[in-house]
Amino acid sequence: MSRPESRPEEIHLIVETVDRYNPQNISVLEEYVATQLASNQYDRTACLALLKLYQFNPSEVNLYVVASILALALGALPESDFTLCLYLLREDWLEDPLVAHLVHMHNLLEQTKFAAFWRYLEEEDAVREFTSNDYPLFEENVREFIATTLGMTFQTISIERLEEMLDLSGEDLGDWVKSREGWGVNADDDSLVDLPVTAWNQARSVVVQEDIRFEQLTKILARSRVAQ
Amino acid sequence: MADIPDRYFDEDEVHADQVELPTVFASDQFTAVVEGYSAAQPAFSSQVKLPEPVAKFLTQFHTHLVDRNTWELHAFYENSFNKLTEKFYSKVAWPDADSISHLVNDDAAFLILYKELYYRHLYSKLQPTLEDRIGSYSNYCDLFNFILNTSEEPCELELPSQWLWDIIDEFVYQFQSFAQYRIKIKNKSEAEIELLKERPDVWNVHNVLNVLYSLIQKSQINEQLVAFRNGGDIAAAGGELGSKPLYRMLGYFSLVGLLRVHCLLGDYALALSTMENVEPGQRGLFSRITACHVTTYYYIGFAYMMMRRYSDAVKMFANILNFVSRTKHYHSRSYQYDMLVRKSDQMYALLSMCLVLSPQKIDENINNVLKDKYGEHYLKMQKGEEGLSSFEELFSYACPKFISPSPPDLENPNPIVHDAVKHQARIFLNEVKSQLLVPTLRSYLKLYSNLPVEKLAGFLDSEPDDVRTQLLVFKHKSRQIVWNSGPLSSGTLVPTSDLQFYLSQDVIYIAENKVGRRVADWFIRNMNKFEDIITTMDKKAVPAASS
Repeated sequence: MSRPESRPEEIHLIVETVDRYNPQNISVLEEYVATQLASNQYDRTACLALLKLYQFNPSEVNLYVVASILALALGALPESDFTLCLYLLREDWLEDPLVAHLVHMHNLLEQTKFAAFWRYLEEEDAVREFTSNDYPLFEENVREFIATTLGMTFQTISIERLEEMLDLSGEDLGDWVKSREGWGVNADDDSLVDLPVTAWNQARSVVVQEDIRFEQLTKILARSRVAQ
Repeated sequence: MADIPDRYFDEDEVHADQVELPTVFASDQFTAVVEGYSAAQPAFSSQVKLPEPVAKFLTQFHTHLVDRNTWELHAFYENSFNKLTEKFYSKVAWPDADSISHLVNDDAAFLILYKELYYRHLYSKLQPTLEDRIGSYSNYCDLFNFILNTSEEPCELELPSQWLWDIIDEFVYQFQSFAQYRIKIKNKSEAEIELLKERPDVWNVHNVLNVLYSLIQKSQINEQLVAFRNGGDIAAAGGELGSKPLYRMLGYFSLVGLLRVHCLLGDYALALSTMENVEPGQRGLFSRITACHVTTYYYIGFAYMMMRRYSDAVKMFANILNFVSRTKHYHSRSYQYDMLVRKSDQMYALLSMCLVLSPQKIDENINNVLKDKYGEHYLKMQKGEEGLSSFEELFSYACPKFISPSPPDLENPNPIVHDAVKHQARIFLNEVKSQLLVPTLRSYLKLYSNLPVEKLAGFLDSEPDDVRTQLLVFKHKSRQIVWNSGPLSSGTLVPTSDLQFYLSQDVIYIAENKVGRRVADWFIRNMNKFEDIITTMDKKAVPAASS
């Protein structure tokens, strides 16, 4: 993983060296997580390094920070970061209410139950409070993931369905659609939205031809020279 | 620099010289001695003097070590030791170091190496006690101190590469074994618990990591690999220590050891970044030790699989399984043959899971073996809910033995125990669950070029809304990061499915990729084969003509 631009030197020296195993760095990395949430600048390596320190020193774990990292990873979908974080946790930590909420929301998103995700967020005050206080761009990041997934699947979609999946309606939805490149209300039927046609949402049969790499021929070429 | 290959091999070609041949020394002088010794000899007690062949073996072994006769050492290590083990120590431990010390002039370095063999043998044939585990750990500390802290002077030891690999491999194995042993608090005696409390340093994860990181750093192996990749001077990059085979090999093997430790702890991102300077598919310098080569691919492939990079995992497994199937006959008499067979079997299991999760074409030979071994599983895994048990079965058979890095609470008779294997399995299976219906969906979509959602819902006995969700799942899951070039962890998000579709309102439009005939590959392979035959014939013809 390359270094994110937003990563301070101090953090870089921790996570890219064996200093990442030093439990004294836990507090610095915890503060850095809060910064990432507030500024929406996610640093996967630093988050995983902190979870590793918790894994090695379970008595030091701060489950609120764990939940914060999971929220950041959720915002990084479609990357599999959330799963990578889960692998490093202990099973008993998953019982923490906030952590459990995030795991559930992750499942909904992985199963592309987008409408259910928004309903869940609406109903669970604890999560909404946490994200709106600590991670203001959470909803926007998730919406971006949903939009790209829809963009891979649909060429046209009804506004009704779009409202449900993006949790936007009326003018908000109109503005949002306008802000996205290539998206627009269908000219003939204003209950539909057209999505840009990309390599992802087409159905063109391609014949895969074999490629021959130069290296495959080196032996034959070498021999032909000897033969002369 | 003689050991640096000056060319890259065609992936399809495996040469005998790429493989460390464990059986070439089968007829060394020592074999005769061993075989001449009557098996009818009564069993000796450990207190009684050593069997003569063993005593002779040890003195000669010591001489070769002192003379730095790597070639002979290799033979002694790979063959004689195993033959004597079969003969005398198949059910008991080798004599302890104290009782053989007089045979080797109390040579401290030799005794450390002997103890390494002694414990390794004990772990493989007997049940190690806590004292054995501590003893072995202390011996590894002595060994690595001897190599790493020889007051600036490089250590002059020279050992066969195979042995060096086995040392690192065993070191990580015993660390893993200890973590599994430690977690079972309930069946420990009080004395054992006390001993565990007294020695928190033993097989401590920090100490183990420290050894591996130190070997990597001292050998400057990463710098060497970068130089190797860029065609630079690797001896210069290695410096005084790293240019010596002992350090270079230990450094490289430690990278692989670290890859494994990170996987055992569930840290797949770190596992891959450990290998950032290693290029997959690069043959030569380090692929000669087959066990190391196979281990590397197994763990990289596994990490990819857990990161949901199934397409990359498939490439890793298919590549190494191809290598193994073409070189297996070299190893049929090696002490590592069983390990090779088992690891291959596990990789076929992993490969079949990856292919269900991300269908793609693979090498035909590998595909045939796969169908042979796991054909039934493969079909069942595509059948939604009912296939889940097959995923579970294959995963638990083929996964690494995950461990928890922190000790359980020894003060508490019933501590909360984190079951690392279950935890990893649960997360993986949860991921599988979220895409259980994709294979079924796929089988229907393949039959049409366009299909209304309603109609598909009818086939699936489901609601149109649910079908739309499943179509989104299909798209979401077939988007994977795929490696292109550069570090293993890098890659770009691409669609991996050979089935393309999109929805326009409520109609699905579908097209399938077709694979053109692959002829060039066949021709290249046969041209090479033909040339090889001619070369062999030429070689044979010359002496015949002159005699």
